[in-house]
Order: sequence, then structure tokens, then C-alpha cells
Amino acid sequence: MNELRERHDALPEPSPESVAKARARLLAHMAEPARSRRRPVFPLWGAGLAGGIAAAVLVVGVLRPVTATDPPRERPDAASASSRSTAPSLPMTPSRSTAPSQPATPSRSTAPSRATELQLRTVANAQDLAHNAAALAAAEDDPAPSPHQWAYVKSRNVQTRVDGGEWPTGSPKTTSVHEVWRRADDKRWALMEDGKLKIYNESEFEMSYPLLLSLPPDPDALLGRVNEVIKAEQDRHRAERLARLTQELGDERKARKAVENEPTLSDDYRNTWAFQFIAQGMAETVLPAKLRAAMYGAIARIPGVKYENRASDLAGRKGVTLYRIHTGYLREEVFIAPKTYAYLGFRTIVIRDHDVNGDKGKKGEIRNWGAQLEAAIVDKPGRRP
Amino acid sequence: MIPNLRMVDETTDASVIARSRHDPESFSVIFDRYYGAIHRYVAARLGTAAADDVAAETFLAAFDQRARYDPAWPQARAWLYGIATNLIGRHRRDEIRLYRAMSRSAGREEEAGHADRVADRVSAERLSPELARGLTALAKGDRDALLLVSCAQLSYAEVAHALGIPAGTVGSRINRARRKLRTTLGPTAEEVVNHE
Repeated sequence: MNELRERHDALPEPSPESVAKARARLLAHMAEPARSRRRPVFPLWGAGLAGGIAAAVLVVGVLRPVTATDPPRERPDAASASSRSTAPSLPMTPSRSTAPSQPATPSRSTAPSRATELQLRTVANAQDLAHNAAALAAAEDDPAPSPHQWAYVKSRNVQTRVDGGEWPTGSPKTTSVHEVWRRADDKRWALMEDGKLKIYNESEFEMSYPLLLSLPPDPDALLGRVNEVIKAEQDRHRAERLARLTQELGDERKARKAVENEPTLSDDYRNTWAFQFIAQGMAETVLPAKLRAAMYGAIARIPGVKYENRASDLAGRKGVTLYRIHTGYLREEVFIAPKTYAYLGFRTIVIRDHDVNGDKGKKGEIRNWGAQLEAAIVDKPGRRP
Repeated sequence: MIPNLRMVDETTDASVIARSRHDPESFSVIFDRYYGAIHRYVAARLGTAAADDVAAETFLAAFDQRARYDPAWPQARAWLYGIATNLIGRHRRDEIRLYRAMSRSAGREEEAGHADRVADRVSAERLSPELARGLTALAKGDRDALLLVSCAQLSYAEVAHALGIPAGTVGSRINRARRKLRTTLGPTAEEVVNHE
């Protein structure tokens, strides 16, 4: 390959005009409102989930690693009822398997026996599923993590396209396992990389953990709250766009008019966001069973959500699916264990060819696929249940 | 603005990109770090004239997709080369035309239009006609992998990341590309291909 490399290396630097012009184009592009850019950026959760962030389902700002030997801070509320000195795994833990490629059976032992005493329905739809999950969760003593406890999530993900290549199709070829610890107050997070624990400050997950934990454990109230957050997020983006346009045009009235003329989000988009908000929140965190059951219920209430009595779990486990078809072509799925109602994972797959306004997809493309292998609350990063 | 940029400069691409999600303008750091390299890679495949446009577009596309950046990769190199390769794919005919121009050898410029001549001259004189012709015969995916390794100097893992394909596939694409160049070009190509 010498000749190829030599010729490549001998090519001249881009001219100063080329650099200046390209830089100006980029700056102008940055200043445009997102809507008019060729490929829209979902301002929040849509990007992460629809866009295929595979690595530990993290969207993080990697800032200043602190050493793993840092003394852990004391929990300020060590006396509170919910804090635990040991690191018990939550009942939502889908699996304790260390060989995640093997189909694993959920490890909880308490639920099935207790389930027999509960009024469980035969599951025929999303509502039944949520109902049973809630009934089961009601019998659990499953407190939320205290602010300085850590959620441990081990997941397997399919490597999806980062860009430039083709989306994977069919059965997954490249998967990777990630272990992530995320402190419940979201002030720090940690990652196991090449056998070393790296702890970071200022995590920047798309879904704030405190926000997720603060959601009401009732499906209707929860969905209402999610919709409020989405609305607030939209308003914030509109305000930002207005500020930027005002600066560009030098005329606030004109800018305001332009922003007001922009189309508002369609119901389908709003519902897509609500689904993704909840689905992504579940994928990245460990949540009390009651809250998770309410999330299933909230998802079931989003228009267009359907239930299926099977699942394409990446770890090969038995499951059922809640799914919704976004924009007519993108099927987004949440997988749930059929007896324990534990969260198993997610997948987003293109179900028909689509090409509208730069929004493209080819039938069969896998946009995102991951399995939560283990999920538990622990007291320190690096600890496993 | 300058002290701000200096601060940003000391951090990884991944953290700059993460930051650019709140502070879009900090993304220009990524541009400053990689525009030259991307431009050169595109120029090698499409000629310098097209490189101005395609390299610029690479950063527009990268900016739009910054929310989907995989933070497990501290360097944005592979990601950017992947986006550039994708955009180059839309100019496949131009790429083939460039290689054809090179394979005709430097002396026969009258066949091409003036603009092509100017755009192609630098590179046309540097690649042997045999190799240039061989490149036109490769499948696109194989050529992508080969050029990412030999021109952009990406590792197999980086190519896999850039093209969104398994690492094993990168190896087989490169092997196939080399084999094909060897068989279609005969003994002279042997040195060209194997000389690494």
C-alpha cells in the first residue's frame, strides 16, 4: 500500500480559502435552527435512542476522570429507611449470568411464589402486562436508591452504524458488553474499561436519574409528567432558537415571527418522544419495581403502542414486547420478562423503506439493540451485586 | 473566546463533542483538528476540487450527528473518516473517473476537460496507471476498507467503527482487495500491493 499512502501524503494541504470557506459553512450551519438543517437533531432523548447510541446506552460528557481510589463520600442520609449497607440486587435484576451470550433465566426467587397470591390477568395486551407488573411490584419492598448509591447496569449491545457505513441487519454480528455505574444523584458515573474502573464527574446522561426517580408511580400521572417535561424541553428549545435568531437578524420581532411560524410538533412526534423518554430511562437505570411497572403502564397508554407475545431479546431470553411504530417505519420495542416483569432490553428496527425529508430507512436495518444483563443498586462504583 | 478554546483543546474529541451538544460552537474545535486530514483523504479519492465541498459537508453532517457520537471513542478520527467515506460514496462515478484519468497516464490530458485536468493533475502523476486501473475494479466496500487503511492509516478496529462493520469483515475486505489488485494487475502489482 506504499504507493497509495505516498500519493495520499503528498497531496497538498487544503488552501486557506478552502479552510476558511468550510469553516464559515460550518458556523453558518450551526447557527441555523435545527429544523432547517438537512438532518434534524432530536434535541433530547430522541437522539440517543433513535440514533443508536450503543455504548452502554450512555450519552455522556467525559470530563475530568477522578482516580478510582478516591475515598467514596459518605451517604448523607445513611439513616434513612431506604439506604442499605450491603448491596442487594433489586428484584428487577433480569439476570445474574456472567455468560451473557447464553440465554439466562431471571434470577429473582421471591416473585413467582408471591405472584400466585396476586390477581394476575392473562396477558393479552399492553394494559394487562402493565397491570400484572404493577400488581407484582405492589408486593415488593423495593425502595429507590439513595442519592449516593450507585446503579450498576451491565448490558450487551449490538454495534450499530456510527455513520458512514451500513446499518446492521438480520442477526447481530458484533456485540459488546458494557458495565456502567451511575450514581443516583447523577453527579458521577463510572465505567469498566479493559479491567480498569474509570470514574467520571459531571455525567451527562440524556435522561436525568433524579428526574426519573421523581416520576410518580402511577401510569397516568407518570405519562402526564413525561409530557410536561417534553413540553418544557420544547419551550426551552424555542426560546434558545428565538435568542439565536434575534442575534442573527438583529430584530426581535422578526425573529419571534419566524419562530412562531415554525411548525409545532405533530402528535406522532410527541408520542414518539414520550415513548423514547420512558424506554431510554429504563435502559440506563435501575428503578424500583413500582416505578418501572408504572412506566410500562404509561407506555401502554401512549397512542399506537401494542403488545406482542414474543421478544427478540439480544441475550436470547424469553420475553414479551411493548412496541410502537414511529413515523410509519421505525419500530421501537421494549422487552419485558413474561413472569417477573423485569426489564430485559430494547430494539429499534426499520420495518419498511422510508425516505421523507432526509429521514431515511431501509427495511430490516437495526438502529439499536441492547439487553440489560444485570441491574442492581450497589454502594460503590466497581462493586457488583 | 481564545482562553476558552485553549481549555477545550486540552480535552478529548469525545468530551468536546459532548460539550458541543450544549455549546454548538465548540464543535469548531473538531473542525480545526481534522479538516486538513479529511480534506486530504477526500482529495485522494475524488480530486482536490471536489474535496473542498465534500470535506466541508463531512463536518456539517458530523455536527448534525454529534448527539449520536459514541463516547467510548475518545478520538473522533474514525467517526469522521466514516462520514467522509459515506459522502464519497455519493460521488462514486467521480472517483472512478479520477482513477481512469490516472490510469490513462499523465500525458493524455486532452481526453479530459480542463477542470478535470486541473483537479487531477497532482494526483494523476503520482499513482501508477496499473494501480489506478485496479482500484476501479474493486467493489466499493473493499475499496473503502483498503483506502481507509492505506491512506487514512486507520487500524482495522477503527475501520470497523468507521464503516459500521465487524472487525473480521474489515480483514476479509482488505484481503480481497489486495488479492484482486494482485490478480488483475499481474506481476508488477505484486510489489505495489505487498509493499507495506
